Amino acid sequence: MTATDHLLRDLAPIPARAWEEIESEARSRLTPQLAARRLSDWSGPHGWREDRLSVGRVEDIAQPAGGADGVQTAQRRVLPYTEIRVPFTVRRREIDDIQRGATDADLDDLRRAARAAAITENRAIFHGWSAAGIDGLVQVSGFPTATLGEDCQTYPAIVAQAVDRMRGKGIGGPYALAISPSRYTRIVETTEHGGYLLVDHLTRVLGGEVIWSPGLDGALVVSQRGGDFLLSVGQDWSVGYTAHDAESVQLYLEETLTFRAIEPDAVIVLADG
Amino acid sequence: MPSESTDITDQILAHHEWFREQFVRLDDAKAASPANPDALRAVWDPLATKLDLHAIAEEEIFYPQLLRRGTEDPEEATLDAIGDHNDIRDGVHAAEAHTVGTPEWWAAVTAAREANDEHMAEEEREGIADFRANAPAGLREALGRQFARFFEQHPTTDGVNVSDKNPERYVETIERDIAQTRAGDGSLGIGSLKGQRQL
Repeated sequence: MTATDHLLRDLAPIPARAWEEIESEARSRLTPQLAARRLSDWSGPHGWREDRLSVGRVEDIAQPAGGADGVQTAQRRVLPYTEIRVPFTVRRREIDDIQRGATDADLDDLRRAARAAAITENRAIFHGWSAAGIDGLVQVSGFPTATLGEDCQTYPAIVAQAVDRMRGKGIGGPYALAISPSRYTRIVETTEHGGYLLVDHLTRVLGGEVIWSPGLDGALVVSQRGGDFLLSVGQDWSVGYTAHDAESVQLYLEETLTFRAIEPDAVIVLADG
Repeated sequence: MPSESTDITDQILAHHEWFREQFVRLDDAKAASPANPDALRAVWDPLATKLDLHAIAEEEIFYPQLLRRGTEDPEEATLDAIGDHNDIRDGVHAAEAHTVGTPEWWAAVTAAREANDEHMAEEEREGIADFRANAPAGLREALGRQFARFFEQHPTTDGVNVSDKNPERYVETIERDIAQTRAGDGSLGIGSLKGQRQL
């Protein structure tokens, strides 16, 4: 089996040009929405067959029943990769049109799938995913949760306080502000006294970006100095094939990942409120 | 000339600055009356070597990554750059065939300078700006270390192929590599986005 056999792409009735279009559309839809991976260090892709991230620690466990005295036993701790798969459908008529040179193919279901895929990855990193053994940034933060009010003119002061608290614990910058889409929109629409854009003010306070973050509730101030958060990926987002009939081809987006928060003091939660 | 930063784009910009300074020194040497061929050679020889090596280092290290990471028509920027490199090389190598200080030598040096001026201006406006906007800082620094190592390993052009390249064939080769890399793991090749601007 090669690295890509499991995707079964050779079985799909999709010519090369249409594959390129589907992949290009998937890439262009996913990339801007994958907000959480903009905040994390990256490890991967390690391949479909890789199934875990070692955390370099052990946990003491009891020895086998009836074992001899004086034996120490411990189990290696690992974070298993979790598979995320999001099915979508492409009509065969659209595939034919792409082959004819159409540049306005209807790939709406792919767009829906890309959004679902990005939100799943984002939520796993931001809010955690207990079934997958992932503790998210919101859960691990070593600081009390602050509150974002409704008045976004107060955000620079709130963010500056968060940055000061992190610096006070020796966590250097630059820092980023990940924020939910609705609050992001309000930020970019807002001009402060003197005509200064709020988003520019926040960027100056942070030394880093304000990141539009679908799937995040509220906001997070996150150090971007590196070494604090790790997204480990086995297979990065790929398009695979499931089945087809005379009308449509069933495909899916797929990824394997885990996430490890190493330094709880490198993130502060700003909750809705 | 060595740049304090390990970022490859900072290092390229530092080289550009050095090239500009050396051509001004050449102007000064030309203005001396009578022009001293030894003084001209003292400026031109290291400048010619560095122009050749700089072009090769960019072709081996910078432009393959611009084609991977750039978003502002990196293919066109690369085609232009390789064409400019050829023009610079042609001038540098033509100068070698003439006696230093002769009108023929000056014509070749001027051709190299004009091609280099055009190249630096375009590269700073296009390829470097695009790469700074889209390549993560960690990648730029890793490439910067490769770039610096290239010059440590090649103080002269000995053993370095400084002949012209076909721009189209160069871009096709790199793009085939990129496609094969993507096909290799079957993924969309999104990878790390840390440090990239969210457009």
